[in-house]
Amino acid sequence: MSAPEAKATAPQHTLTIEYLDAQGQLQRTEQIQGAHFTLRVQADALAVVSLEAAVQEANNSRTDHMLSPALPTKNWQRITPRVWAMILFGIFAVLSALEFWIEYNPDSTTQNYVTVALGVTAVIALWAAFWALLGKIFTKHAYFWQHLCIVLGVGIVLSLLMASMHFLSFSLSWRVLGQINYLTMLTLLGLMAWMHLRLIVPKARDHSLRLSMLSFTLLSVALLMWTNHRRQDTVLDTLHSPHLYRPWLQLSTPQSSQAFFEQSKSLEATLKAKAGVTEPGEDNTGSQED
Amino acid sequence: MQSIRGFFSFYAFKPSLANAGLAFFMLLAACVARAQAPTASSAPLVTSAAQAMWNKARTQLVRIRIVPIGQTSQATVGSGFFVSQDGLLISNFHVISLVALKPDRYQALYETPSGDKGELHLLGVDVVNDVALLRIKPGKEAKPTDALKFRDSSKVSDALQRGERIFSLGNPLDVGFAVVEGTYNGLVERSFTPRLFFSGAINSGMSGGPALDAQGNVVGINVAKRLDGEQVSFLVPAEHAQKLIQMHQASAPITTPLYNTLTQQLTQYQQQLTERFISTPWKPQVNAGVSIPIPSDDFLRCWGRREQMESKAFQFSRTDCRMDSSVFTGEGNLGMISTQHESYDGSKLGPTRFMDRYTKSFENENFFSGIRPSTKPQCKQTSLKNLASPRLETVLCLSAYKRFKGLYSVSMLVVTQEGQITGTLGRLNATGVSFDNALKLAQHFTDGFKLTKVATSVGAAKP
Repeated sequence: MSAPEAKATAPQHTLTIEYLDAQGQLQRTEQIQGAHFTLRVQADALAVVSLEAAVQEANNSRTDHMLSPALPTKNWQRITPRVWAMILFGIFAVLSALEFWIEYNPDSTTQNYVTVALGVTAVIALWAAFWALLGKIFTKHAYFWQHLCIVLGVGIVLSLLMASMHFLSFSLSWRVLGQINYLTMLTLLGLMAWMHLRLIVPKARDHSLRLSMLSFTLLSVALLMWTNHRRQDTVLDTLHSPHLYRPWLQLSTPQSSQAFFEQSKSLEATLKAKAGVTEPGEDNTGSQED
Repeated sequence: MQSIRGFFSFYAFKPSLANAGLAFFMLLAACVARAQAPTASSAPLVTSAAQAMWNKARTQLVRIRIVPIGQTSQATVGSGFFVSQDGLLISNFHVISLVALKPDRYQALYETPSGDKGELHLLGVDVVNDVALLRIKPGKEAKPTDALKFRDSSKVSDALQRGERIFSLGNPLDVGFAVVEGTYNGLVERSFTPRLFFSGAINSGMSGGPALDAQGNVVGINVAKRLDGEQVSFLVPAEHAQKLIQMHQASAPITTPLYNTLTQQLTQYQQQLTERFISTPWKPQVNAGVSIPIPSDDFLRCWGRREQMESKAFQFSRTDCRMDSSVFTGEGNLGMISTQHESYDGSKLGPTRFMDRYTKSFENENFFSGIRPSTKPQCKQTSLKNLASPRLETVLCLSAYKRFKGLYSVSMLVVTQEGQITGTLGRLNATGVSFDNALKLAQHFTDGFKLTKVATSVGAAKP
């Protein structure tokens, strides 16, 4: 059956939407004709079916004569944001505990761990609460647990990503990966801000929000790279990658010192060229002959 | 008079035990004061020799003031002395460095103890030995000058003897001319440029003034003192001034910045420095099976300490070595080599925590040159392994000086990876070296890290 035929044979319904004010008074009514309706309220999409169709669907479901028109909900989709937040918090706590354990010395007391754990938890909760408050102000929906999921999720990704980058910079001698900590953090912060804002800004503005946040993140990263370049002549955050692990984890082949210093001779041309450039604030007194 | 008489009469006519006691203590105090009186009177006064020295040299001494052109306030002040009757005079390079590097902005003025004043021309400098040759600007006010003579040290019998009395003259802190008496104590040890060790109080403002022997002949030029000591002062040997006079007494006044001249002199100096550093064998120091390249004590002065970092679990020993001398250029001190080593022991921390601390130490290193203007550091990082060495993570960074063309500062950072709970972080810094010598020094330092068994056999073969 072709699509137009199906559309023609589908039963038509009238959807009536009543707009009520805060006191429950009817302000206006809107009626829409159609076969299927989907009502979107912020991030939730609600399928609207007629009572007749719902009864029929229930019967079909019982007799298994035909598939349900709605897609089946997967198990993980049934998990509420609150449960997600708890799961993510558990993962985050394990990762943080590992980091704190490495950071602290063997003689550190439990009090140290508890203080930091409480501090981090409070900061995360306040961060989520801040965004929830903004949501409540602008959209009347707090979505605290969703905001909490975002901050915890980004925190977990950041920890794992950084650890992986540092390890690869050492193990495979991909040193650039160990020199972009701040650039990575800034990018992930931009992503996190966008995810928070998605819950606050109306769906209709999703495209412009995405564009704005992408521009903002790119601009921030470019600004950081420019600052790095001004400061140390490289767009990377640091001049060297300092990450060290156990020696047997290093898989790259080392050079001989002879070969390394032979290669380093290429720096001379670069340095000579840069030495000839007078930067703002420098006078060119030295260029005059005796 | 009456009150005095009354005072004595009071004690004369009211005898009591208390008064007797008081009288006894007064007598005792008088005896003590009498005993101390000869000590006070024997304190060293200005000797006749110092007085004679002042009378002899006062007409050859000058105060040198460096003044921004068009202003009357001085930027720096120092001393100098005449060495010819036609107005040639010697001072330190560091006194007149502003005129040497910025002759369009600063001028040198002189003033004698008798009040004669005038302008000076710069004829030549020896930046390595910190000596400058100047001449009174010819004009109506220029008068024939008395000249100090140099001691003839060419004969061994005339060489300065340790303990010989020396008189340093100059204008300390610009409060007036002064004669300071002290003794010669030989050449300064570990100074790459020769310096006379003078145990007398040289102060700022005396720089460039003469140091005379008992006959009034110049043996040195006041140049520096140790700020962390008492009466530990240094003189430039007089022969450097004599060489400069021979070379530049007929030279025309310098009117353009002397960067190229300074660069030439520094280039010669750094060549000698590099050759000597590389030819000096390392002093062996072993950490966890790795021999660490510590410079010899007769070249660089080393200080060591062993400490606990953060907690008792992480221990490290540190050795800092640096040259006692460097070359003042007017824009920073060049010609300096230093090394630093930190050997870590994290056996109580475990490998994971140790590597975290080791990473932080490696991270906490700065490669920027302190000399301005210079380029930002250009770095190369790699993992090295020689036949005789442990695996090393190394970072080489170089900066080029913009005014001393062809001279660089170099930093070589080396991290050993011989174990999971031990490691050594070594660093070599050198300033004012050519590019080739920078790489030579860095490679020499890197190749100095050796596995102990190999180091023992190789070390024995080295000169």
